[in-house]
Amino acid sequence: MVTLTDVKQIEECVYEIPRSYRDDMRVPARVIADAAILEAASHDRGLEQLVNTACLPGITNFALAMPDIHQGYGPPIGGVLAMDEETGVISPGATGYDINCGVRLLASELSFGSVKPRIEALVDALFAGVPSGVGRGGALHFADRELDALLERGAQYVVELGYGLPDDLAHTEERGCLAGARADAVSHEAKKRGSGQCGTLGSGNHFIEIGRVAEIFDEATARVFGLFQGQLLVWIHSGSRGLGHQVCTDYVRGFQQPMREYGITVPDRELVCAPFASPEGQNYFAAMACAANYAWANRQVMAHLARTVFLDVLGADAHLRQVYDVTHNIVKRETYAVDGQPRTLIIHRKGATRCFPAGHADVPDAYRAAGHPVLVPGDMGTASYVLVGLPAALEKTFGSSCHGAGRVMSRAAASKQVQGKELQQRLRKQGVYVHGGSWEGLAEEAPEAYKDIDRVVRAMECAGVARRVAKAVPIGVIKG
Amino acid sequence: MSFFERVEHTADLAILVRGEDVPALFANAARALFQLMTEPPAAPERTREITLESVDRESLLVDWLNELIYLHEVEGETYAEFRITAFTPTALTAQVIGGATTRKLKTIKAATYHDLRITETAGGAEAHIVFDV
Repeated sequence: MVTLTDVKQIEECVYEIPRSYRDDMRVPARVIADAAILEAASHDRGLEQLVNTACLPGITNFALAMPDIHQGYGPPIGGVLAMDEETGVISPGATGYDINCGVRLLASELSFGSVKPRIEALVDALFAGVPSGVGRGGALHFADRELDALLERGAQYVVELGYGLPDDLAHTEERGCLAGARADAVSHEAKKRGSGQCGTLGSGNHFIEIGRVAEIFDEATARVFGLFQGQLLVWIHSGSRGLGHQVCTDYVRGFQQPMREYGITVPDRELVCAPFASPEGQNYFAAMACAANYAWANRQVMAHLARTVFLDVLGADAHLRQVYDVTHNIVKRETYAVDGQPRTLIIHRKGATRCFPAGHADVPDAYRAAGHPVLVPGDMGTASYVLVGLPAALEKTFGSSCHGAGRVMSRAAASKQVQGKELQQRLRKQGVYVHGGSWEGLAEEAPEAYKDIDRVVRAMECAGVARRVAKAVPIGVIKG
Repeated sequence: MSFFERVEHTADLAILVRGEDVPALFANAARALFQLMTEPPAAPERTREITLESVDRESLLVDWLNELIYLHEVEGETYAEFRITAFTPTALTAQVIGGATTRKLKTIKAATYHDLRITETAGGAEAHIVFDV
């Protein structure tokens, strides 16, 4: 296992495990962290998993982890891998099963104070109005051809059906549709899992949270993003549901034999991969894009359902404007300067958020002068953040930031230490009303199972990658 | 000693599962999966036959568990009995018996290859499996 003596600080809040640590490393492994975060990360296998990713063919410059790093399967959570487009690989296991798990932030024009007595009614109505929970289906069912169109067009398809506004697309990463999606690359089994789950939250760490802006750090950028002190916000955290899980399962399985034929060996079979330029690699990229589009459609429908609930409970003033929607688990083609030359790289983000500075062509028009919003949801008892990308992100992190607080405690340990019902009562005393689907599910997601999010986002700021814009605290949460 | 136990993992769900031989290990891994995901079915009256081929024994275990996760989700069924009727390191045939799911406890997205180990032991065989949850 990697120990702290194997890690060297190379600049403020950037640490490196050199290539000499293990013979099979092709590049060094870097972590954005402060000393305490790094020390905590050395307690599980996250750093070793990061080293494993540094061994993949075509990996460029360094394998990276954000300060919310923790042990996953394959890469660590918080991992960012940049592969050369011509010589590098694409890995379904390094993208994960919940393809385009991500978060959407909606903002009202209401202040918390004006609706405080109605928060519990609002949370209960959201729980009733947005399908959630283990395996629960949704309101929308798609026939085969409709589902194919959804997979290839993402959020744009459901907006045309009346779920949301065209302006939502202008405030969504990739406008809610990743190019290159081909529905014929998605198996019948995956489509069957996806046919009735669009518009459902799911369970695990997925949630809808009502929050209030508790602190503004950067007034000018907050104004551009439309955020103000005391404002009522809604965070929606979910992904591609069973369809995405099946796409990953299919391609992790399907890549096992071709990887041998391509003569590729990996230190962990979950990092199974194929050359990006190969037919297998291209098919996975097309299927992954479909799953990503499904996830954007899913969050789009849930945003529509949440808006309906807000108007029903709070009245006509409770319109929710979309601030932004980002993905946490994805593969993208992006261009960066490598050795002074622009190069197209295949960026795998596994528990990381896109983070571009002001002026970048992929920042939506409305935000281009300010920079790309980075949405960082925290645990249900602490805080969430909105950050903005800075120029150093392009050279230090392949345009990436942290995606959350990151776990420090296993689900089993959290379930042993925390009783779901007691947690609900404790949070209620703190001013957070939680409506959950199961007590065990709630206990597994207890605030004590997560890192200190304040510290995580400060590490991003300390490395010069992103700047804090606003901090929100939870006041109501629904969990599946 | 129970046929399976949970193993520490920060974010996901890891188990150590045992069997008197490798086919029994596969059956017990399936039993463990359903104990984690659901309550037993009220009426185990539905039999499904599963046939799988994989590149090696570890892949066969992952494919077996993922096939069961798929059937559980799309058919709304929970299985309580797992009869491995033919087994080689790269193929199996099994009958699984179950019924309509009554109560779900946890979503398991998939069985992964991460840290996957099947080892022969003095008492038979054991496997370390990490599930994405």
